[in-house]
Amino acid sequence: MNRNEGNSLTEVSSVDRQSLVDFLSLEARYADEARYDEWDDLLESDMFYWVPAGDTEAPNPETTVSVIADNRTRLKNRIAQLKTGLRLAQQPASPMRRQLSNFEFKALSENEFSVECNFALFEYRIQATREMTIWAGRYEYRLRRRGDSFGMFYKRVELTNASDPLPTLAFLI
Amino acid sequence: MDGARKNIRNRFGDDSVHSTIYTDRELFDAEMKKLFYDGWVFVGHESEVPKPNNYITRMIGREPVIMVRTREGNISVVSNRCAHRGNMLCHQHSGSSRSFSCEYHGWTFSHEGDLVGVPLPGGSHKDSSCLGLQKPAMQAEHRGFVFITFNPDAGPLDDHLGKAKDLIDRSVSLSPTGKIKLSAGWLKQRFRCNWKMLPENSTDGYHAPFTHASFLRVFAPDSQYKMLSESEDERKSKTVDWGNGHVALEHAPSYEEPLQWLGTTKEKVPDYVESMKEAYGEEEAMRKLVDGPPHSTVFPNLFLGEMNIAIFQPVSVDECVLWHTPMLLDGVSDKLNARILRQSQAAMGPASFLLADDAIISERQQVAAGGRGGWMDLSRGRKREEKREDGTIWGHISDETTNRGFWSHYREVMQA
Ligand code: FES
Ligand SMILES: [Fe+2]
Repeated sequence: MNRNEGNSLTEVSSVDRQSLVDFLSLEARYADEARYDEWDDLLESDMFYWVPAGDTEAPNPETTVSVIADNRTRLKNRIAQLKTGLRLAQQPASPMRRQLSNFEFKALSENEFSVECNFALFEYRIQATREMTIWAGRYEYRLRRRGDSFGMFYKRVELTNASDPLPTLAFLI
Repeated sequence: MDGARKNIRNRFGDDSVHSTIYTDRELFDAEMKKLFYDGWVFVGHESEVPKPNNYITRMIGREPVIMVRTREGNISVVSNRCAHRGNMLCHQHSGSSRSFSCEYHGWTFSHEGDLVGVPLPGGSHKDSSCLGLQKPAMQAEHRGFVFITFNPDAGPLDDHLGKAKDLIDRSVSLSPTGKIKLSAGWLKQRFRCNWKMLPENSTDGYHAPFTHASFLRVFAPDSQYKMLSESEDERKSKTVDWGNGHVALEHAPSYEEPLQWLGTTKEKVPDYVESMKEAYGEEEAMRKLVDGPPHSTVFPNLFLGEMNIAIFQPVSVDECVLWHTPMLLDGVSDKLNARILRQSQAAMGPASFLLADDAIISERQQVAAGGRGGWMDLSRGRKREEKREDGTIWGHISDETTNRGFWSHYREVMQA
């Protein structure tokens, strides 16, 4: 691969960058506000949602234990469980807000992009201990052009404290 | 210890326990000594340290320990606390090391805990043989499960395990080679509650239809969990008190077909079924494949949670950690182990479909116990449980036979 091709593959135009950030802000808002159906509408049929555990050197969803490793079907079930209104761990849903920063963009092909960013998420554990829990880490999303917006087909959440005991995490992180 | 004994007596009624048992700090300290240092406790499984020099670190009560595979291939457990001035020797969850070298003043210890190196030796005049790492008074294993006690008078492990040995055998014999591999890593879930709620909840067969209503609605209709939502008369599973605080939910009577407990059929995993038949003979293999794994607490800190191995770790009077790892089978296809991994993640862990909800209940129980507290009733099923000749007690799956079994052994040990 010559140098130019390398560049053109990873370069993302400023117009695309802006619309990717807009998409991810919306995705964050839906997750924060427990708007499960609207969040679900942002996903592609090959979605994979992965929160690796931090204790293994080379996490692999097929061979090492993960906090979450959902294919599309399992994620649909996760959301269906939340929507029963009987999911005690999110009954009521945690009020929360997350902030995204330090974006890095990459084009995977003409129509597919990868975005990485840091996040800080403030969760108020209203169902149980009524404490504010702070979650921090890095997101990696993969998105596919869908009309004039995008569909998400991969989200990896690297928690900074994934190797240590985690409190209940029944919301969409 | 008269105070402690009285302390315990006052917290038990007729089929009831006082909720201050979850909130009393002095009692917590007494438990660390009587249950975790003076009794037998589970440390880890040999498959976690497969090669010489491999080690893992664990907490036994509040005592940090290292379990290491020595150069000769044995397993050694030593305190994770330098014999010089008490620095923690290994602060990683796992690793590989030819010896343990302290980062404070550079003392070096062998895998067996002997002091083998002191820098600037001109100033040392003591005999190094009395400056080794502390070790448990006894160490023993059963089918690769390593247990220790700090009490030289604890008696043999076999006596403590009793019937729990059969349960461990039942778990590992789901592998055609009789071996399991705890190689998928551990997930740790923090509960803001007293540790005793973990063994209690893990073998409480009463709560599933209520606490797990959301799970049952979404997942159960066509799964192995269907039986959790059946009516009282339809439910065939049992609660069992095996003695010594080891208690179980026995789901085998609910299973009609082989491999129902894994949500699959023998047609879908023919290689596995074949290798089981080769290993155990047709009849025995089929029985194992219908009955499935145990769902049992091995007192006080090990949980054989179907295809999970779990550890109950106390942290303080109102905090504990539940560790779990999928019980992967040796001698089966990667595909089958991947299924076990997925099932394990669905059931246990902070984001799981089951345990996430149990955690919330435990945390609410802890808050509610924080004031004057009150008596908690454990009488359910006392009138209909059956005491068998071998001393085991069997109840309906929704009966509190298991919780009574846990508490009566707890009371006995704590009062001794
Ligand atoms: S504390 Fe370990 S060498 Fe001094
Ligand atoms: Fe439960």
